[in-house]
Amino acid sequence: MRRFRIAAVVFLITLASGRGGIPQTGDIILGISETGARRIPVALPDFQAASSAGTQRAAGTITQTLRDDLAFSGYFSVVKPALYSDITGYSEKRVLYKDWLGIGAESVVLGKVLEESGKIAVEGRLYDNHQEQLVMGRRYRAEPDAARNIAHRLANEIVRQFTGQAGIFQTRITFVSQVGRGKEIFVMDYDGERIKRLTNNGSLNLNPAWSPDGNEIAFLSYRSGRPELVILSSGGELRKAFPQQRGELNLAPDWSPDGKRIAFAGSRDGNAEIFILRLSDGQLSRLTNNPALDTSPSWSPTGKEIAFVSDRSGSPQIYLMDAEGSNVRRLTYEGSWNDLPAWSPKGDKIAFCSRQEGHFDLYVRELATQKTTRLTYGPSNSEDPRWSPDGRHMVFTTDRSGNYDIYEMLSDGTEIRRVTKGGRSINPDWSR
Amino acid sequence: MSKWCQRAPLALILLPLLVLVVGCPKKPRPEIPETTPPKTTDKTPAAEEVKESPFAKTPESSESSLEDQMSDEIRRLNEQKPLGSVYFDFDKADLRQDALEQLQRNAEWLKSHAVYRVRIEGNCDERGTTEYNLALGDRRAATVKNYLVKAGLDGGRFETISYGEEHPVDPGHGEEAWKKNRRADFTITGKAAR
Repeated sequence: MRRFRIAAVVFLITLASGRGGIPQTGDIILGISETGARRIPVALPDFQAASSAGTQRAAGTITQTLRDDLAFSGYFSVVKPALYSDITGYSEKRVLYKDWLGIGAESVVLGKVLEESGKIAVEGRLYDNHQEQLVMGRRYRAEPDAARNIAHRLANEIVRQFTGQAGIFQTRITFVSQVGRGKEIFVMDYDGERIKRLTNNGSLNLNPAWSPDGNEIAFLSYRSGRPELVILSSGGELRKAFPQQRGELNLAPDWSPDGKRIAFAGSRDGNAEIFILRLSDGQLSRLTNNPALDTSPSWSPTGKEIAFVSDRSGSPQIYLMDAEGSNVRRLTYEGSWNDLPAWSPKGDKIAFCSRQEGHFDLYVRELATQKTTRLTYGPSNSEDPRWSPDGRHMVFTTDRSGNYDIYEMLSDGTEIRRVTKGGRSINPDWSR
Repeated sequence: MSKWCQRAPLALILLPLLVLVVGCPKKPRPEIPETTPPKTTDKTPAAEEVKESPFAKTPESSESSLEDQMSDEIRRLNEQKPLGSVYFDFDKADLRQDALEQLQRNAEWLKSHAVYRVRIEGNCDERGTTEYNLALGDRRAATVKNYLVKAGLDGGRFETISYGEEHPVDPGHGEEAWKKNRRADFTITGKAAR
């Protein structure tokens, strides 16, 4: 596989008009609160390009990707591009702050794509139209077909200016999709672009889970005819396999936050229990010991607790336990089937799916208050919730279009959007 | 943001190098890491991305090739379906009356054909999560095996496997399809070694 580098350098920052202050780069300057529903209106006119077709194509990709990223973030609303045409003659030397404010944009991103010895150089600047000053500037140099990546990186930095935390636009999602009779493991960018297939063995490959560093994916594979836990690199090379004896099932892997262990559901004689596999030496420890089915472990971000599913009460419900297996307590009581817990990155919430009124929907439990909020509303099924690393989004599956596909939404259940098309895609997991 | 930074003299910012190297004394500026060589990124264009990985090329036996390894005799035997499937209620692994009757017939055939090894395959309907249904299919297969062992058959002849909700016989989305998919199938895999 060909690789490339994006060379990124920080601009020489020139103060546009600044009222005596310095650009407060890297701090929370525009102060978006975590729960605030208000979105910052930002204008993002087309990146200007040198005359070559390559740079113009790159500029188009970058502009569109940036708009998509910022709108997706949940922090911004992109002011309608149709309104930009009234504003002409702006440049980084003459930003025309008042004109952008006039169409409702509190910030504006100006950018251009230059050609530099076969590569493209991309400059992007974020301006605060109220303060009338440059907030941030970035310059990237790369092969022309890296335009999408450059846009994601610039978007990450723009989000960082507003939140103090980089955006998630370079994260990826692994998932399972049907190919012929088999189910194979795939990865894609968070926005559904650049889909890449990792397995091609024609059997069942299920439940992929990212390692915390994003370098590996653990999953359940029937490639040998019998279920085994397999670890691949994110590029698809086989790293480790844990072949099992006949009749054993090892499913639903979830990596510990330190990446050293994998919790999974192991089954012998029809009785799934939660186990922890220590990766350094393959040592197994068993956490549950119960005739019920115990499945779908999910680590808390501290690594001190594990949420899991058990039907020990007679129906599948969500339980919590300490990571050594002690202190088991039941979390859910409502609904005949609660499944697939996913601990939020901050550790304050657990998302899960629950079968009520004959179909599955997504819910989230706030642990401090024990308050449950419903996120999706049938009549189709929504399952498999997983959090984005910043906790603002979720990826999940739903059959609302007829067959199961991967969807994303803000973690309050709004702004649902479809990511995969064509059906039969399940088991998403978002890289950290 | 410290006061010191907010009141930093304008001159500081006009010396970009100084800004990069020194920055705010308490908080290193986040853009500094960007000046170090950024990590490489995958740039394969979308159209060419579905390519086979080394993992995919590794010679391996898949489920279908397991079947391919069967002798013609065993394959013909399976085509006759001497062992009928048994069916389950939603989210249950208990043996219903019709399942018990089918299992009695299966047990009789197995007693009179003691040479054959058999795989018991647990399956579920599409409702519920992949993960739970894998565990449930496993339980269904184990329940069937336990019944046959209690009926006097040698447990060593059986292996169990769960396909969860992944191998429906009817791909439909209603009870008519679901009730056919909540099942345990039997596949004769070979003859016991003597």
